[in-house]
Amino acid sequence: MDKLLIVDEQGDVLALHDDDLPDFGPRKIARASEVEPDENGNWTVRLTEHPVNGLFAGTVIAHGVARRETALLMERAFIQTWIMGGEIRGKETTAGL
Amino acid sequence: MSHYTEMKTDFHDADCLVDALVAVGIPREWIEVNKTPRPLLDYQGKTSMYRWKDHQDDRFKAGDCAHVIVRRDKFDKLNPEHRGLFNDMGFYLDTAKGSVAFVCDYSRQYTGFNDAWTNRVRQEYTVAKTKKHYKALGRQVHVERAGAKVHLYVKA
Repeated sequence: MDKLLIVDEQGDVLALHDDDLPDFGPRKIARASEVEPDENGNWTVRLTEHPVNGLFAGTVIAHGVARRETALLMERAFIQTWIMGGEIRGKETTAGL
Repeated sequence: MSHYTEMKTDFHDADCLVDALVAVGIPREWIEVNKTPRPLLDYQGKTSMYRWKDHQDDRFKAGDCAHVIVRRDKFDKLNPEHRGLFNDMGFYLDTAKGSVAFVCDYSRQYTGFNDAWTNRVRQEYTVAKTKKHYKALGRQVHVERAGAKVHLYVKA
């Protein structure tokens, strides 16, 4: 899936964290979500907080997902589209969903 | 699990800053880039002292200075009716203590180089910086304007 960086009106940047992000200046990192196993060995994706308003905290966006890799993709896709306001892109984006 | 990273954009890369200034309409040939900061001149041709006077910033005890500069005579071309009233515009780049932009009040008022303009420069800087960063990693960046925001898609 393509990585999305949002540049706001002030020129500041919001992105899902990874170690390859450019260094634009001082940064603040906050937990966005968690992917945890349930009693059946499947995976649940739950949002934990949001740097702007926290409206989605605690929301389960997927549960009973068999593969952790799929859950991780669903997690990033949801955040990128519904919270950050971008789109899901990249040829392999939905292949495992 | 995922984490958000929020970053306050600060000017550290002179090349990207030049690209940003060009993107918002400053001719590239107007922009002076210096490895070490050079003095900024006021409308009278003297080294200005605003940063030290207003903020007691130790970096500017000897006067305002910058790495990336647009000299005041260039603004005369944009605003001939206010000829001779502008100070140099400059950007002092400092990774450790934070960068400083010098834009005089006259430029803010009569050339439109106000806070909104500075924010546009910051936006364009992030675009240039993102492209440069991922190009070095062999990845492409697709730029989309979404209202007042910019969406940067880094190809997987």
